Amino acid sequence: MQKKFLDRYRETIFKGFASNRGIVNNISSESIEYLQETENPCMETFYQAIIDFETKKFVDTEKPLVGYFCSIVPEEIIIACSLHPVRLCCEDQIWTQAGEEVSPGDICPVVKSVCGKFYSGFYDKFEIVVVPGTCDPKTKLAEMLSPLIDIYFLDPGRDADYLKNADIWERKYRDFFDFLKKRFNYSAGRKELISACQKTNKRTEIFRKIYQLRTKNPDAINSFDYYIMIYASFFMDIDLWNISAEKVYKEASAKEDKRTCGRPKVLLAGTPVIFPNFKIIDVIEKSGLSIAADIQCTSFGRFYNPVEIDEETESGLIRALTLKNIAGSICPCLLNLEKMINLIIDTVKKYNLDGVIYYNLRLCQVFDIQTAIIRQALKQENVPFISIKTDLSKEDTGQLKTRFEAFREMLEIHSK
Amino acid sequence: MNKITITRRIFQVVSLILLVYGAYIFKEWKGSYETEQSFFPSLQAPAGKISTTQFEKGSILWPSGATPVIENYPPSLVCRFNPKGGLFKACILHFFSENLTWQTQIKYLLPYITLFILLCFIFGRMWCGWVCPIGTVGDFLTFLRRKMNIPLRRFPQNFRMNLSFTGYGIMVIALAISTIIGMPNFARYQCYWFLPYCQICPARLICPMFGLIKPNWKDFSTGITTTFTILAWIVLGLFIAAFYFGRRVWCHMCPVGLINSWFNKGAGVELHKKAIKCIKCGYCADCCPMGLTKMYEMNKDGIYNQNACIMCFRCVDVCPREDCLTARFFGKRIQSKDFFRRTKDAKKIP
Repeated sequence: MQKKFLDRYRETIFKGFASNRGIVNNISSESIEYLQETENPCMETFYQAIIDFETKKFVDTEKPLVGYFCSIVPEEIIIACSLHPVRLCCEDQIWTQAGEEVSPGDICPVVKSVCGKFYSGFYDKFEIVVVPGTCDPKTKLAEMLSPLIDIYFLDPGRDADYLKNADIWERKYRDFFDFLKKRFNYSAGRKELISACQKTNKRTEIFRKIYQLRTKNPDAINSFDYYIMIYASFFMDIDLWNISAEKVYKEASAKEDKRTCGRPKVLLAGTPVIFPNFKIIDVIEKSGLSIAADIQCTSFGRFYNPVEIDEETESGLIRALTLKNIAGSICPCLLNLEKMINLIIDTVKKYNLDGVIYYNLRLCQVFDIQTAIIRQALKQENVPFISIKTDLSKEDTGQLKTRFEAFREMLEIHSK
Repeated sequence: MNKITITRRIFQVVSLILLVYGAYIFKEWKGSYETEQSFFPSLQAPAGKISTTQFEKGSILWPSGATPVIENYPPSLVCRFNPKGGLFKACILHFFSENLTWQTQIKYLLPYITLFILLCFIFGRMWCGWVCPIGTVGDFLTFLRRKMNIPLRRFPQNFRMNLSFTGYGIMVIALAISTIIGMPNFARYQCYWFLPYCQICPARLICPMFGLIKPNWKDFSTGITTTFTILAWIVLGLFIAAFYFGRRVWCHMCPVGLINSWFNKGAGVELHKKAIKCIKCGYCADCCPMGLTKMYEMNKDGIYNQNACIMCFRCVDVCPREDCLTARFFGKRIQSKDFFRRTKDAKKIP
């Protein structure tokens, strides 16, 4: 059942932060620059979607909007209830400053920017927000947002072991499904679930194609375009995204030249890269490396696994969703470090990549804490590894560039 | 639904049809099997000695008290197909039970046992997943449940282990009874206790229905036959419930499957896992009809043939990671890349 947080103090808190409301930031000029680094004309749909979303035009959709965080929240269940899922994860410097009124300075930047967006009234039209209890800041976020909007708290537990927790996950997802059906007065069953799963499976299929193409030739769809497509999938209608991404893929694969990419190919792992914060991609590309593959929860972790429909009963479908979203998840909040290391080594070996960049967003501790272990594990397999820690500001761009250039030279020596 | 599973389903249905109607479909073979002899003429049983010819030609005798009840073999009972001596073509438990009772000399049985062991060493327990007629019927019941949107009942591991102990218990009791009634002093009980497990086996009641023949489903002539009849009904009920609510829970108990399972480790058909590819999503453990989880738990590369595995390769089918789980035949991969690529869900791309 839905739990009410801070019910007694809701009004006071709401009034206390009322002065923040009404600030609407337009999309920053730097972000627009990122949108223009493309050669593919089919990307237009995604740019338009992003600009619409950032300027609040997006909320015209007929379906009720449901916000969520993290890839462990089952998008398929939200789609099955005929709602529009929007992933609210956000790493925006401007919104971070707005959010610091409510949240302390040295806390997860995602929480800060989300608080900024909510307390400024950016997400007013959302009916409900689903907050998972994956990490500590997210758990508290549920309470921090509760004076503004209805919250559904989904706690998957921290142990990603199928044998111990599969039944618990199934029950939690079922509760969530029942809640949505009751809240929006919509009767959905397995037919709706199956069609939702087919939509996400279609997306997985297209994503896998794009992923494979980029590992061969990263220039076919450049990194900016790739991450923009990923960001657009947060809020775009899934059918529209599938069609547009298919077009982009066709365009890219038709133009693909046989010439291999001259720059060293690297794997980007670690904290997810979300739209306005493309500093890291910018620096990597400018220092002569190319991101050929990635292991991040916004892109790979969310798209790469299909929902395997084994039993087409309602409970079987829900179970398949838990396995895809929780057990198969690569979130470092859960107990799955070995899986992460295996994935990195396997991807590097399979696609002949030259090195691994492990990206830590400052103040995201769960990614940071496992860096040393991953470095040691990769040493055994003789995979070049660099870990960098940075924040949303652009002050350390030059410093990062120097480090990446040194890394590139090392890779070039290593590959000889 | 993926191609490997579709292949298996087609194989199961074809096997069921062949087992039930084979003798009718290939009537011209009749001439040849009339004269069929043993593969090894020197081991041919002397006439009147070995007791397969005790059966009337084309029928199997269920001794029930005073009046013998005759049931036709194919298309009535798929359990045995054995015209006029020759090779035993029978369910392995049937084979052991009757030969223990008749005290057939081991040298006559040796070729058949060798053949059985050879097949087992090549295919392991593949019989259960791909051929077994009552397994096919049970899978159809499972299919019905899925269509009716009734959730799957999952049984805990202890329960499944206890089931296989029960299966061994039943098997030992059945074979012991068969041995005892073979002794001259107890020969008078033969007409009541002959083939004790087969009398309660669900295949005896289910398979004749495919041949549109009424099985000997109620026999209240004596106390013992009444007991057997009631037991057979109970077992049939359990069989239907097990397959309808669970998937292959029954197969943990089936004595034939248990005998086959001894050869599973080291069989020619192998399930191989490449641990570095695994992302621990648990699909392989979740879809397993026998509820086995070792494939999921293992963190090292290797061949994981478990005793209870029925080689249905469902786990290979649903694994979302390419090359993680593979089916192998004597160390060689049997999936060709195109053939087992999935059809409807997200495509696996090499």
